[in-house]
Amino acid sequence: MARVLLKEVTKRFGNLIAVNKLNLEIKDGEFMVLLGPSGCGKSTTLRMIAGLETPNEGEIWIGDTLVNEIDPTKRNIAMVFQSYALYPHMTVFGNIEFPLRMSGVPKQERAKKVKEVAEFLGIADLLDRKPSQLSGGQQQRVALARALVREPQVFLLDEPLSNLDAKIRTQMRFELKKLLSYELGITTIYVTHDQVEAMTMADRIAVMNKGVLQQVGTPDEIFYKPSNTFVATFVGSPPMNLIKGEIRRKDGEVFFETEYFTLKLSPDVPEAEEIILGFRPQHVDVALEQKDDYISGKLLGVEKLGVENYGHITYGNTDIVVRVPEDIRISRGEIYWKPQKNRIYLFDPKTGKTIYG
Amino acid sequence: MPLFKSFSSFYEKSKNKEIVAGLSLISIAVLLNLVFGYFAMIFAFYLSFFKWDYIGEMQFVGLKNFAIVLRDLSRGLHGSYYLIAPFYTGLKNILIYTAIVVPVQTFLAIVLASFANQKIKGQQFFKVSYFLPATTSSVIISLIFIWLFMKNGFINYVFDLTVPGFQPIDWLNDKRYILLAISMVAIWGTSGHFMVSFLAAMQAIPKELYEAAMLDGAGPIRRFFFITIPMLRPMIVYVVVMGLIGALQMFDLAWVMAGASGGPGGAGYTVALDIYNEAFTRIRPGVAAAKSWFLFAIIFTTTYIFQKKYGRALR
Repeated sequence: MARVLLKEVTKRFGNLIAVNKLNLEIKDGEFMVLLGPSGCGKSTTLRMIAGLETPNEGEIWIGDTLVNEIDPTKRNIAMVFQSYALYPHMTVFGNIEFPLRMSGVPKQERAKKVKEVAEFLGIADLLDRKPSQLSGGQQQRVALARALVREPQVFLLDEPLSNLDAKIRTQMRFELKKLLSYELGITTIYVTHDQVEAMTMADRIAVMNKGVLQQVGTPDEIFYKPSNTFVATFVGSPPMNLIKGEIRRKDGEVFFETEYFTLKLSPDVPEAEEIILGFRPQHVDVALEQKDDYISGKLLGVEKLGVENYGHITYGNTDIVVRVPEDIRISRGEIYWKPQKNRIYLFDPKTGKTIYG
Repeated sequence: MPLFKSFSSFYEKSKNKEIVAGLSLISIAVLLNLVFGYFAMIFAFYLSFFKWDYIGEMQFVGLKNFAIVLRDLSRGLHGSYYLIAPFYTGLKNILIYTAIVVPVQTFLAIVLASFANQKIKGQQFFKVSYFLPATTSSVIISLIFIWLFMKNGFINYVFDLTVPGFQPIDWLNDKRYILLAISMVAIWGTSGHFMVSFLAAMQAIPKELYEAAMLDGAGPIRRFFFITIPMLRPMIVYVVVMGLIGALQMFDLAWVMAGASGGPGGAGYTVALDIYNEAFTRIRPGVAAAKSWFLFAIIFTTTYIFQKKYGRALR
């Protein structure tokens, strides 16, 4: 087990900068999720840690070793691929045994360890099968077993759940977390574009976009203290509402003004004129009648997701999404809403950085 | 025109359209195959029970033709002179030849493909030059090699330079070496062709398998033996089977390099040459047909056994 440290790591593919001056520390035993849209450099980062890609600049440390020049065969890192990359010509036993065989573990010990890990993961009865005879969930367990059997220092997972169907995915999400963090306490780096996976599994999340690290923090920090508009909108579903407007001060009170409505803000907001206001759909109070400081709007429709319902309110070409409580039964027409004051964010319209909230 | 009308209405149905289009596209290939493949096979079977001189009447002789072949084999087994037992001689030579050519060309094709699969500068040039022999007529190749194999030819010259104390070999006129010389030409000519097959199969192996193996601690050599070779197995089976079929009925190289009578001491004589001689020199088409059926049986059993043993589908 070991910590992983990335210092100013840069990777270029031709003219494209896939990862740009990345600094990141993954602590010993930590479950770190690299989160971002496709093409953000998260997989490239993972592959550089594994040694499958070589960084153009910067240092990668695993434990106390600088691994830049160390061959991937010697890094003692295990990786679970999106496609699982099971060896199709070997049985499940052969697959799990393979890393032990490569490191010269004697035959009897290999058999013992394979059985142990297979029982641990509940695949002991599949050992004689070929990967093609397994379901997606079973293949994934075999891939996990193959990765776990040699007790790696660091465990890398590249979108391991995205090939599973929704039901198994939810189940495996918790199982993986339980296994890697609670039972084994292994240093894990997990790449995903799914913010729900990130939020539910991570000790800390590193959000990346276009090769640049946006923010590192616990799921709570990422969710409640996003550092910029990208993080604010990427994490959370539906995404945070962002509205462009201006801040006006009148008689010691502060107002946020747009073409369509005015909103009273708490007086401690920083000085600014042009601003982007942000609030999450879940942090909005909704009413059917006009109340103090509520904003009226035309409800275009409601998306029903069971417990949660989301209403779409339109102002010009801006769409605002708000959560409609279960007891309000409305699908169209006039509605009144107000973002909760202490759950409001303000962003700099030029840089996108959070300046309040 | 009721016939035309009914056809056009039949054709207009979209499902029928597909059938008609499909059948007409394959018709030429099917026709050629029926005439020159299946008809020839069946006729050869029929012919093997007759005595005939192409002009006169066919005369039924029962199993006599097969008896001639068996007698030839038994004479050969008892150590008769090669001219007395030509079929036996051809069979013996072709089995030796196959045992040399098939393993070597398969191995070489894999090695060449592995090189061509590397990211080396100018690999396109190597791919083309490996494949070039496959595009060249075997007769021309043989003629070039006759020249290279001459006693004062290029091959002896190279050996003379590299092997100390080497005595020039008269490759094509020495019965110890002629089969080896033919084998070398065959290997040279076919390895590049099979290399392309292996290269295609190698490029179809998912990259992630290699990456997974790398992280599991397998270096390049172990990746080759634990991933590449097993993943190539279906292609290896295919190449060996095609190689067996090709080698066992080899005719062209022997015909040009050794001549119709098989060169010195019949050492370059093959079954296919013998069948040809039987049919067109000795004018015994019935015996030639019987010999063809023997050769067919040999090819069929070897490839069948090989397929059965190693040809299991991978997935």
